Amino acid sequence: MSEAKAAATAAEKLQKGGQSAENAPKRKGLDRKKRKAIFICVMLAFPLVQLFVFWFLVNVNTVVMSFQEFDWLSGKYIFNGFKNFIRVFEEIGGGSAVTRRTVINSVLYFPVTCFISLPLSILFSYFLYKKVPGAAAFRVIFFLPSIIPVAVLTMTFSFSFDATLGFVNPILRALGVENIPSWFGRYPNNQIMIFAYCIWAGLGTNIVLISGAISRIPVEIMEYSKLEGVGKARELFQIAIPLVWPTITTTFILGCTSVFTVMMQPLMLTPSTTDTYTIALMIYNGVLNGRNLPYLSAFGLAMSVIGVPIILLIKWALGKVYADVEY
Amino acid sequence: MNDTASPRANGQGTCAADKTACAEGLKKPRFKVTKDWALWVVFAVFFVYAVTLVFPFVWMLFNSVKGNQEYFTNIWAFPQSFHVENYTNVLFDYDVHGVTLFGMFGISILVTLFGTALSLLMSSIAAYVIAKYKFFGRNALYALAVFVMAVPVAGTLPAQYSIMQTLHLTNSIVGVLILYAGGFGFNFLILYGFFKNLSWEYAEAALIDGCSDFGIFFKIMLPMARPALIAVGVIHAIGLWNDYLTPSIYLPNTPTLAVGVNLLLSELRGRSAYPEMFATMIIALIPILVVFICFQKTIMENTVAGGLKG
Amino acid sequence: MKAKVLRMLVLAMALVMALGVGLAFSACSKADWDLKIAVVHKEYGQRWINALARKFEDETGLVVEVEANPNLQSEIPNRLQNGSDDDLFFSHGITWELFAARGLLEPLDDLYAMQVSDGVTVADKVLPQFASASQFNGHYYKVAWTNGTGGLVYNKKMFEDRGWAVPTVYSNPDNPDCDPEAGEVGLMELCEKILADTDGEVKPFVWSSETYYWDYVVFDWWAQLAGVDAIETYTQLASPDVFDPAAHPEQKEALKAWKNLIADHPEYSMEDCAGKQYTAAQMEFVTGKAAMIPCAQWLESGMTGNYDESTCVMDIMRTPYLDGAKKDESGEYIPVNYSVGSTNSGDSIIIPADADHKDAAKQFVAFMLRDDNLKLFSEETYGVQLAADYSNVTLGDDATDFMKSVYEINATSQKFDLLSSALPVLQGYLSLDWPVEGVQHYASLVADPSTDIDALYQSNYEEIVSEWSEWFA
Repeated sequence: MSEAKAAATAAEKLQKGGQSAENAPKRKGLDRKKRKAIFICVMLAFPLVQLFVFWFLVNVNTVVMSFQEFDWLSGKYIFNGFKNFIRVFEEIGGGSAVTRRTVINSVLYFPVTCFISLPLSILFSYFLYKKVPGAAAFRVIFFLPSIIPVAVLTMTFSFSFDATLGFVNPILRALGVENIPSWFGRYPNNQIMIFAYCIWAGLGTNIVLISGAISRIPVEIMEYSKLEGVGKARELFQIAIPLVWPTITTTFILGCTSVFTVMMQPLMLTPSTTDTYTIALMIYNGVLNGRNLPYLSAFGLAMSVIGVPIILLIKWALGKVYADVEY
Repeated sequence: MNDTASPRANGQGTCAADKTACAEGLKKPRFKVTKDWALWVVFAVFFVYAVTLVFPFVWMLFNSVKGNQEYFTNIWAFPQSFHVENYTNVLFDYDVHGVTLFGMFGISILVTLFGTALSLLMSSIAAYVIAKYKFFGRNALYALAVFVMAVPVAGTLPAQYSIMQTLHLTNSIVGVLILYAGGFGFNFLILYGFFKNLSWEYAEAALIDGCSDFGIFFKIMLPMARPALIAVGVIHAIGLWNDYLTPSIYLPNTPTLAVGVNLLLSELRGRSAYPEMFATMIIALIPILVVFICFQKTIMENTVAGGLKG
Repeated sequence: MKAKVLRMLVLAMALVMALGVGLAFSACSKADWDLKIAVVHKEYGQRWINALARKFEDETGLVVEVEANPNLQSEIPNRLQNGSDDDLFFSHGITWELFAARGLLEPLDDLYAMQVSDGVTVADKVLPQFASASQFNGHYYKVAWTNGTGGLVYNKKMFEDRGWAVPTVYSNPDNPDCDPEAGEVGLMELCEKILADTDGEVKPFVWSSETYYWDYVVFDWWAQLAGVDAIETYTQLASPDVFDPAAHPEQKEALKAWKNLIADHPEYSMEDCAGKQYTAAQMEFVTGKAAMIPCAQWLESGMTGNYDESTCVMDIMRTPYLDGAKKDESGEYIPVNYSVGSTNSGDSIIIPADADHKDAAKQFVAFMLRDDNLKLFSEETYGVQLAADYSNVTLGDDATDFMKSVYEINATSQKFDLLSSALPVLQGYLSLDWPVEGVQHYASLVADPSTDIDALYQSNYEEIVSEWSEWFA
């Protein structure tokens, strides 16, 4: 860690690193402050209005609904206090095997995306930057899964593992593997396969983002480190990673939100089982069936209210790992 | 853009063009051997991974020219016959609300280009201001952005639709573009990370020169953010290009490619016409692939030349 | 050079765009029709609605606009709530009770009184069990759309070539109930015979991870044991006792029969069916790797022309009778058949409360139920039937064996469904197909055949008893 900081400081020295707007000498005094305020207001006006109208106003409905239930006699939604939320926690606590498993599956996407997929993408991005032979071609190919329709990717993926049509099992048998498991036929195998699929197909987007960030590192810093005789591992961990830390943090945060957003992969790979439900998929299916919207609203809201502070805490903690370096 | 970028890249000397060789020239030869060895191992890993990724694409391509029976008989076999009509049928014989695939391409390009531009502008504004200026509520806005990403919404469509109706934005491309122009979300988070470590020193100098905050953003920061904007923009554009939900609801009479193709695909799947289905997918895929390959070069050149010191 | 290519590309795209926008605007005509019909575009395709709409136009002179949309189901709530130009919806999974309670649907009592043909009203024509399940608070709000038939689809060509008889009874070899003298053929004996005759090259069954197709077989067994009246009582949910496995063991017994056939005899199925995609299972079936597949009426229409008819000709069998199935006074088994797609809200036809052309919409529904149009619907969907009385309809000469069998099963069986407007069902607390939560047990039984089905049903029952008062509060 201290070495990493030293490297980061070296980078900072090279770049005469940054000061934030606040630290800048306030040459124009009050005037500057006022103009800054105007700037902030003008710039944020449209994004905030857009957010207010198309997110807040739209979701007010969801929030209000989460405290309601449908009254079948009057045909209206009526206030029912925290009843929906209480039911959410009762179900997770064991009242419903499906809900409980849904939450567990969803939470598992966090380690899978953040501790398997993300480190792999960093490693891949770094070596793409290091000009592995054919790097340009690899970069295009690695991005393929982001543009090939999910339907085709999932179709080839599951066909490949089909016990009689696929080619994976024959290869394994030829290699002497016995007792080949049912890949998609039982839990938790099917859940593990979905995770494997997510890693396989999901690296591309991360690689585009992270290798974009790495290749923006000034050439001088990398060369400087080379002159110092820094090895690959140290170069990666002590220079490259600290320098692109904000991008990594952001990708990590996005990985955290996948707990709430993953839906297409289980829907396509295991279409008719509740074993591999995720929070988003459960809500999607529930909305599609139109059953008990208030409960689903409360479910989504409760998950987010618990999840978002945790994500922010993680973001805060990650921000402490390396000092921000501007270059 | 490319014309100006390339000489600068070269201008950074052989080191920039081939850093490895350059640095190695200064080091002990032993280092070079181990290094190449490591790179080749990585190459092998990349190669295997790449093969698994190319495979679905090639599989789809092969099956898109098979006849239906041939496909059902063996999905892995090399095509025995070439049914070009799978492609011509899809291109010329099908339409949705009188719009052929060509027309859908046009609508999609329009929506994607303007939608991406607007969204990039809005999210870079929001990300830049929140990353670089300290003001009351800035952390709350960041938290809000994460919240927006994380809340799995349940059935908000009717509410959204009624707001769009009140604003007279249904059945209009402008309405869809305004929906797309959100400043908070995936793009915001990525650009926030980017602006966070973008140097303030140029802004500093410009401020001293009497440049306004607007000038700094539009003339200095936004151009410097070009590599990030391109990376995010490509991903975003692909997202918009493939978006089904929004245009299907708000542009019912002017189907985008995603909407039209989805309708076609479901019809083809209903008839188990998988080869034609794959042909449709390939047709929808090719423009994205072409654009991506073009932009991939731009990304590379931009990023090599884009270093602040360059 | 590169810039040139890029410029060309941009130019080309601009051209395409201009063309596209031009085309789009020329295509964008004002709404000038007398009836707008929106149809979910799934298994049944859209040929039927186009054919019916054109015929309706010819007869009435009205202009009909048809929208076939694969995602209609998810858009219906929005369209009903915010208004749309739709006059008539056909879809699966419409939560029509909810919309009816909110006043978003046109009451259809007058439609049910309308004449389909001389002296025959819509109410006469709609099958009674569907009509009763279309009422909410004493009014009709929907017309049931299809009357689905599912079960075991088999490769008729293979059966004929090999000389296998179509099974009529389940007949467990441990407890043979099969009377060959009376022409009965046991399903389990057939499975053994298939394996023996083909050296295991052909498996009796292929099925997929979309295991709910087994419901069509298992529910038939359930009704064979319990009788359709008992199922009707069950759906009314008068008390939690209808779930008591001691008093009503029939669903449990049907599931045990399935477990015996599939989970306890893995050799009867192709390898790892629980992990197979549906398409993969279909392929194995039409290429002759397996003799039977659980599916429904749309299998043949979905695959017409896509397989080699020298390998596979499809037909569907009446679900073989389970030991203990109910018999009539003359000692014959009572034929029953589950209406596919009739859990929860089922397939529905509805008219929005604020539709512009309600009369035309009602006229169209009445028109559709006329005998010649019932026939047209079935022909255009390769054998699917509307939820109507088909007794005066005879299929054309070009009907396939599969279509004829679907027709035959529908016409001669006591049909039953699991539709219910009881509060816990409407609120999503309780699923009647697989209580409590609608989770099927097939895949988990295959994964772990030692599962204690009795204990499973007992604990479900206890859960229902403990929640019951809260659900009905």
